[in-house]
Amino acid sequence: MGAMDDQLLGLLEYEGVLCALVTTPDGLIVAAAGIEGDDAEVIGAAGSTLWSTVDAANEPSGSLDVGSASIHLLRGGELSLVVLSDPSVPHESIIPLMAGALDNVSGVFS
Amino acid sequence: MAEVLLTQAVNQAEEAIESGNYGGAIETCQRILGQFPEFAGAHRIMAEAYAEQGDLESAREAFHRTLERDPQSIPAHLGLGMLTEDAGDRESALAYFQVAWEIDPRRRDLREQVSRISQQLYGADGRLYLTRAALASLHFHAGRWDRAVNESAQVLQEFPSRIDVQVRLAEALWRRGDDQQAKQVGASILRLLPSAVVPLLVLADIYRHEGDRGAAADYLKQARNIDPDGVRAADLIMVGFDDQADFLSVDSIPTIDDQIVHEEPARYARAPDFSAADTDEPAYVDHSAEPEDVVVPPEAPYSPPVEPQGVRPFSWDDIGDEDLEASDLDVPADDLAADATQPSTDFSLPTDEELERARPSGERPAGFTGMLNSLDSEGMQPFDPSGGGPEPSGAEQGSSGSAPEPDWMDMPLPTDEELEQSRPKTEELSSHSGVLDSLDLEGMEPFDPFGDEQPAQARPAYESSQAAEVAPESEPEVAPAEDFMEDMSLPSDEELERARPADERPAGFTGMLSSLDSEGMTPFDPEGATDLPPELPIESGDDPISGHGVSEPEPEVESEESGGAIDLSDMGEESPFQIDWSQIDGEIEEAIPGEMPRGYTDDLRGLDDFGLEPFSFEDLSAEAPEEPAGEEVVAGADELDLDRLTAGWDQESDDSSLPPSPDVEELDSVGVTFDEEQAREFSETELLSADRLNEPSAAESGLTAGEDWELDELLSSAEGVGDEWGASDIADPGMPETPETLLFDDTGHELSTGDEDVHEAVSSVGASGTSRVVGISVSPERLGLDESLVSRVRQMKQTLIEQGRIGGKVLLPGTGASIESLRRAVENEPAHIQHRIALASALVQEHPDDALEQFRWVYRNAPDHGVEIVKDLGRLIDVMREREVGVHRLLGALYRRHGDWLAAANHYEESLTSKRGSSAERIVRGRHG
Repeated sequence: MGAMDDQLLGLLEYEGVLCALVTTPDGLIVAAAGIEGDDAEVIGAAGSTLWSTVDAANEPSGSLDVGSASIHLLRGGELSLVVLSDPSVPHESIIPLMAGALDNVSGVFS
Repeated sequence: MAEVLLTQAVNQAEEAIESGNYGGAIETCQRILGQFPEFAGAHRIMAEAYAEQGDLESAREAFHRTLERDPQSIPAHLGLGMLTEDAGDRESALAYFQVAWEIDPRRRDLREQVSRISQQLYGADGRLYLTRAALASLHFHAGRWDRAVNESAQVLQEFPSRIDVQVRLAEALWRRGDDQQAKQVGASILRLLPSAVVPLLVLADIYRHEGDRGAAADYLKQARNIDPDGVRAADLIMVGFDDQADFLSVDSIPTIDDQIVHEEPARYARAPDFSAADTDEPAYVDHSAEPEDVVVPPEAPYSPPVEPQGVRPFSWDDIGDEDLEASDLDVPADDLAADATQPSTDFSLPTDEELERARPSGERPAGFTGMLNSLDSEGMQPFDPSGGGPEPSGAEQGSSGSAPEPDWMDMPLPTDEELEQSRPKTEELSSHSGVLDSLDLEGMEPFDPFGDEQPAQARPAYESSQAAEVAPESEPEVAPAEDFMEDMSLPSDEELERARPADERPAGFTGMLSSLDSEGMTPFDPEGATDLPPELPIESGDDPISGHGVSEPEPEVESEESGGAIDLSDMGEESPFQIDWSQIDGEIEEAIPGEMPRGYTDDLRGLDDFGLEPFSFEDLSAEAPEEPAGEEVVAGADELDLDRLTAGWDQESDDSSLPPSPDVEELDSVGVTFDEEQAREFSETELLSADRLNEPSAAESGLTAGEDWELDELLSSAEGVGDEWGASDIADPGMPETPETLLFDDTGHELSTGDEDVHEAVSSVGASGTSRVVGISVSPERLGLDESLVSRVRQMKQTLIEQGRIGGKVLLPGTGASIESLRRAVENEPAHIQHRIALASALVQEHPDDALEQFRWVYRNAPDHGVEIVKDLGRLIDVMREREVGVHRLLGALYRRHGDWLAAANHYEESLTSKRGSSAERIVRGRHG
């Protein structure tokens, strides 16, 4: 399994983190952990939606509460990291972890 | 006769390189190749040895031989990249490094090579970009065969000659069980590279699957010749496919006779022969290709560069230093200075003299030399300022007198007069002289300002004195000239008209009127404007076709009488031309096969769908001013069905300042008019684009927390999905549907991009690196994020935990124990395994070295807990970057302890590769300064 998947699985080590995906801004899934198939595509699409909004707002990250879970997005240069977590996971707690993971993942390409 | 295992010989060669015994390594490789001449690994090791030894040409050849056998050989691409970079060809080096990285994007050393040389080439813009080829490899290494196939196929659509991607595609197809397509791709590769080991192995396994043992054995035998130690085959073996592993893996390591020495391929001296196709030179690589287009086509054998014979290499001395500065070259000044000491390898621009000397005698020289030579061949004499031409003026005398000797290099440019005098009589004069002469040849007369009163034929052409005397007062801007050669005035329109050949149609209004005249039309007479041609009946205003008021195309007037006159009233409200629009529409449709009509046609047909009738200027001018507000101005049968058009637009806005949208204006242009209120409604119902997501509508429109936007509806409208929701709905405070969620920042303030307070808050928060939230809300079900999906994700994580792949119990920072508390816990209970593991995991990001020590303690003291730290060690590899060697060794030890020899070997290899890669780079860098 590649280093990217290891990074994403590392995020799943944390309580409350349900799945993690590395996507391109247009929703292409580069790597995923804890999710697969159509479910991954749905989360990827939601991440792309959130990416558009976050990018338009010139923000590095954003979160979206979807009821029984929360979607957190962190923008990188060419890749974004999307995490689905429990609603109880604080945005300010998960984003630094995501930043570390995305930095390592993005390091492959920059 | 001593026999050694092949693997031992390979190790000897590699160790010889490590110890600096490059000659010994080459000798060992020659012994190996004596028995296994196709062994790709031996060619690669020998290439490395040659490179270390400084025999770059041999190294390059050996690397190419390696690529012919294994197009995905990263060391070969990397080695060629280093060699080409060493030769100063950074673009090609970047291409090699790029391909190497795309084959395995996980390799940090490859990534750094690409980044480094990209920055050297392109400065700040030089960076590593994620390419499809790299993405295909990432998917492949992660086991996502479908995605790997898709990405590889897309790369090959753009770069069909990428052999390495073809191999990737074949392997991915084979992995996902698509044997037939894998066979096709593999066979295609083997047609180009018959010794490509991976396609051979893939085809062998596919034929084994199909029961064709003979074909399988044949392909496997060929593959064994290239991969006798089975290293490449081992890469293809997957855990769980035992039959495949039994088939592909070697039964026993072959031995070699220690006395057999491989005859090294003959060296080919440099010669001006590009057709050395019968040699075993490496394949040609297109250095000018794009990074994704580096190919190794076997049909184009590599030929060494040929130096032209009889031509001395150019050097800096040939052109001097004054014309070329070191800053003009993309080479450091030190390199230039170093190059200056090596004239045989200088690569300087030739001088003009050198070019002339090198030019074949039959070829006509270019530039002034060629021009003068051509004049010479035509019998013309070189310009002599002292004679042959008119007496130069004082200024010219002074200048010519101060001119140096008439050496051709310093020859001053001849004046216009000299050129004119030296021109052969049969040659047409250039500039105005030539124009006038040409007019003369055509029998035209020079311009006469009194041409209307005095026939031009009365005076002979080119009477310069008379021309000067009759300098027209009506054209004061034209200075009188004593000589016609100096008369630089432009010919008048009349002159040009007279000069025009009789059969040519004049341009401009003259031509247009003449053409009308030739078609029997008479000039427009304002007094006769009311006299309409009797053949063209005046259509009544209620004709729905003529009522369009469209500027009709130029009619074909058949009448030769007064009916041919153009009447300006024709362009007004009454059209004398009857047009069958339905027929024209049909013709337009036929002219655009397969396409929907666009532009006004679409608009008009859209109005047809609404039952709207065409607009009539007559209706507008007659009735619009009297129409009460709020009603459409189209009269009679052309009634505008706005009720239908605006069905569902219930909301009204009090904002009357809204300008009409472009759509309204567009409808206006085709005859659909709205009153102010209707126009406003139309503009309000314009579908929102994605950009509207950025607008601060929520804040500025005074929305409360429960009146946020529906994100999915905005998206659907932006994507053109048939969603009737519009801005009026979104801006409606009474919108019944309440979003499920809203997000706020830590202070409870709703975040919106239009709120400057929020901007400031976000900026300050962002500087500290903490979270940011974007104030959008959405119905999760409409995004497909229903509860069942979340449940499936939870179940999948639980499965991962049960499989032991993750622990899943680490507390998030800020929500659990701190590093300090964990340290205290370990100090209190040094033998507590979980405390150690928790501390090690917590230390990964901030203190990776300490974390590695803790993980080593766990390895030594808690053999049963090794699995728990594997994932954290994976994180540690990415954190430690350059110092990951120790982590790989620890992982190798862990896997070896648990019996996973393959994983252990991989990690040991990674540790060696990292070490070797950095040391090899140091060697190459050090050797070349």
